[in-house]
Amino acid sequence: MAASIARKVLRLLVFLLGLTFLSFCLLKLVPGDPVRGILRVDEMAATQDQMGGIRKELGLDLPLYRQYGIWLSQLLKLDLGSSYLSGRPVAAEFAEKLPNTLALAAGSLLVMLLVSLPLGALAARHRNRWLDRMSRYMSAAVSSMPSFWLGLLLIDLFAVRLQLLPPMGSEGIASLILPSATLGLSMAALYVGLIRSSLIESGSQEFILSARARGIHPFRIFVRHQLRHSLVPLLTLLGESLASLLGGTVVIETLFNYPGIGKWIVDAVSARDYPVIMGYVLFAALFILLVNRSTEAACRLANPELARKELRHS
Amino acid sequence: MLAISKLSIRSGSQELVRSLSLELQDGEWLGLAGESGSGKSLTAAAIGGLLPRPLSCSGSILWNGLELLRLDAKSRRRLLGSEISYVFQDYRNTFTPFLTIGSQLTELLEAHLSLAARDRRQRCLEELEQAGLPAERVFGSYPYQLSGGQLQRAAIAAALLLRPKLLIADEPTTALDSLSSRKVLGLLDAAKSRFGISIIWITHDLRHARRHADRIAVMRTGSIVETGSARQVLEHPAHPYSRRLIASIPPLRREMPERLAASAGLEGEDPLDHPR
Amino acid sequence: MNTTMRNAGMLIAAAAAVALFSIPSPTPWNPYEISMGERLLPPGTEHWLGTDHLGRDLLARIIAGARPTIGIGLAVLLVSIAIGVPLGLLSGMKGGRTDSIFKPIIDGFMTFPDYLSAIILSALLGPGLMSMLIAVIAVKWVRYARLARSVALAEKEKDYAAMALLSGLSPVRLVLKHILPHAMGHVAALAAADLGKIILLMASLSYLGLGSQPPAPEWGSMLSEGRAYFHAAPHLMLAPGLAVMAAVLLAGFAGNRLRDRYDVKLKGGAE
Repeated sequence: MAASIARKVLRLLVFLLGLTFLSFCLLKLVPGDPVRGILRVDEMAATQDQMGGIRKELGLDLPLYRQYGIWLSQLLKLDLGSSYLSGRPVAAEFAEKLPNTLALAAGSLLVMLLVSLPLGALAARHRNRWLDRMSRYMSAAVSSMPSFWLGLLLIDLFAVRLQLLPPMGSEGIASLILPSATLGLSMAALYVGLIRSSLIESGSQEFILSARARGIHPFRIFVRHQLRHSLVPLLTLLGESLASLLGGTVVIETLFNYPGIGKWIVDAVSARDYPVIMGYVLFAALFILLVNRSTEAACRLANPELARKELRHS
Repeated sequence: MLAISKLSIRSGSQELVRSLSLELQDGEWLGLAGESGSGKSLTAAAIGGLLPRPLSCSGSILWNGLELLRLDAKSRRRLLGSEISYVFQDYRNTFTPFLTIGSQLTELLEAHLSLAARDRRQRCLEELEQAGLPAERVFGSYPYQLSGGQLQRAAIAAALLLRPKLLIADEPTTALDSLSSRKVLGLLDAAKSRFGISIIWITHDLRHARRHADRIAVMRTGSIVETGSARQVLEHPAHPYSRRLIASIPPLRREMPERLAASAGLEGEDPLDHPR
Repeated sequence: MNTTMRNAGMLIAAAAAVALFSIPSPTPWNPYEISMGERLLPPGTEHWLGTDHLGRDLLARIIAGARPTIGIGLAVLLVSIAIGVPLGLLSGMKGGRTDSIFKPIIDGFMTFPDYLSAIILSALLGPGLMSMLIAVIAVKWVRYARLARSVALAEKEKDYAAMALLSGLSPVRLVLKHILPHAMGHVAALAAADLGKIILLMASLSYLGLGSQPPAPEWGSMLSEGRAYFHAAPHLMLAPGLAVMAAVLLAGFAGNRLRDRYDVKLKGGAE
């Protein structure tokens, strides 16, 4: 047991090491110079001397492996370096912006579940009737839209025409509604179909019939037997969408000018702010690995038979 | 006590069961025989109102004077599981796979009776014991932890838990090996003699009919072609179809080729069939 | 949806595709011609969809944009398939050490969702059309490698493959004659659905400023340009957005058709 955990941790470390090194190489090998960006921010006329000086200061004149070594040794001290743009520590800036992104992610998940669960259940119940068809066409349409475009339509309707909600920024709950709705709706499109087909599949199971034949109340059957049967595919998809939520927030945060880590990384890219980009890569990798592990654990909890099968296979 | 008359079940324009009439006496064991697709299972499902939604049925099913086809959902729920109960062929899916047997048995009690939690548990354990199962262990097990024979006996325990007046067993032994199916039929026999329940036993295999059934009805393409006492139908089948059905029963033991016997023995020893 | 409707949909899609790619310029307007006197005109009789912030005819630009948008999407798709399928087949057929090199790579890539990896990769490579293409291909080839690998693994076990090998057919010929054609059906089904996803992904990347840059009449960058004038001239955003949506929908329909034909139920195969 201990050995297998040790092996897993080792594998994780090797993976992260490889990933960050690869990212580091890509960053440095591709043309583009952060120094110009920094100088432009300072609004100075850049002379070769100045540029050389800054390059030396940031250690950009060293060979690649030395630079990576420095980054890594700093990382071991839990120091991700400082942003070239703002000059502040990456970790501090990150800690400041992450809650905003988490709030947005939570909001979108909420919208997604509020839309897709009832709609999927209704579509499964009234299979091939008008409600089912409508929800299928709607899902197809929404999932074919670029998410930022959907966001613009929502801004136009609710912020410009109806003036109900603020179009941008991060002042309070109200400004969270539109971005969450945008991201949540574009994800819900995927879920409605999945929930529908998964409920139809579990509804045709013999054990549902057996429960009915025992005179159990339909609502109880639905919640305790049928919904739970659909839980594993749902949890799997939820894990996947948590992971892709990180990508989605980048677009939506940029659209709504929302101060989260997604907007931060986009700004960092155009300035080639290496420490910020590397910090984001590391975070994304850890986040996704964490999400995947938790999804697996949740699936095992939801279906004890699954845990047993895995035990037999390993 | 049960009188089915002119029952028709249709799917769209297709008539799957045609104007079927059948009566069942108190404490009677009726074997409903016929090949698959003859409408046996549909008839059985219609009694409990368990037909899949696209199917519609007409006619009348009287249960002690109560018209089952025009029963509201609530009264039907009260009836199912307590007065009329079912055992199905697919024992692997009789119980919901991620809930323990115990929790599903108590759920059944909860739905029909108000009992203290400890009494519920006690009732379930007694019933599992009756079915010849290691009660405590089965009660705490998930379905996948039991063998096929154990599952089917647990399913019968669930069906008998509330002492129903009618048990509808839809091919309960078809998917079992011969030893397990003998045990299952023995349980049904015991239930019949102890509690005087009536049984509708659906089967396509008449092998055990002579020993267990009082009366046999033979179905073909949606209607009953012959009814009579088990002995009469088995020994002097009147309808040519019954004759063919009976002729197709494999001879028991006597002339079973060695190879078949060996594989039948293997079937009983199916490694998948053992509890893990 | 019934078959007639699907067939009709396919026909319309095919006709639209042929029209877009064959007719040089179906409108009298030049998609690049700037005319500052006609800036931000609303849709009307002369300019059917109106004009953009530089007075260029929007309809002409949408039509001109179909070629780069769909064309680049197709090119990316084909390159991904060309990289992924041979590697996947190789990994699946060879097994052993080759497979033990490829499998972790494939799994590693699959851990990350498309969107995120594409954004991070473009971020690492810097903004620009080329780096976006590389990023999208890097993300997409793995799906095809995984699909081809699982097809190879499944087919290799079948009796006919063993018979063919026993009777002296070379493994390369077995792959070319039997397994590759079999894999291509599954690949086609995945690819048709993927085309829509790629178009969406590239539109998002362009919108973030990571993809193609103005003045190319590519739908994604048109959306990006139109954003600044969204309040004054919503048609600048609406038209390219609807165009993207239509293209993705059509690709999705085609994908469903193909999937019905080659019902993909491979373990670890299509999503």
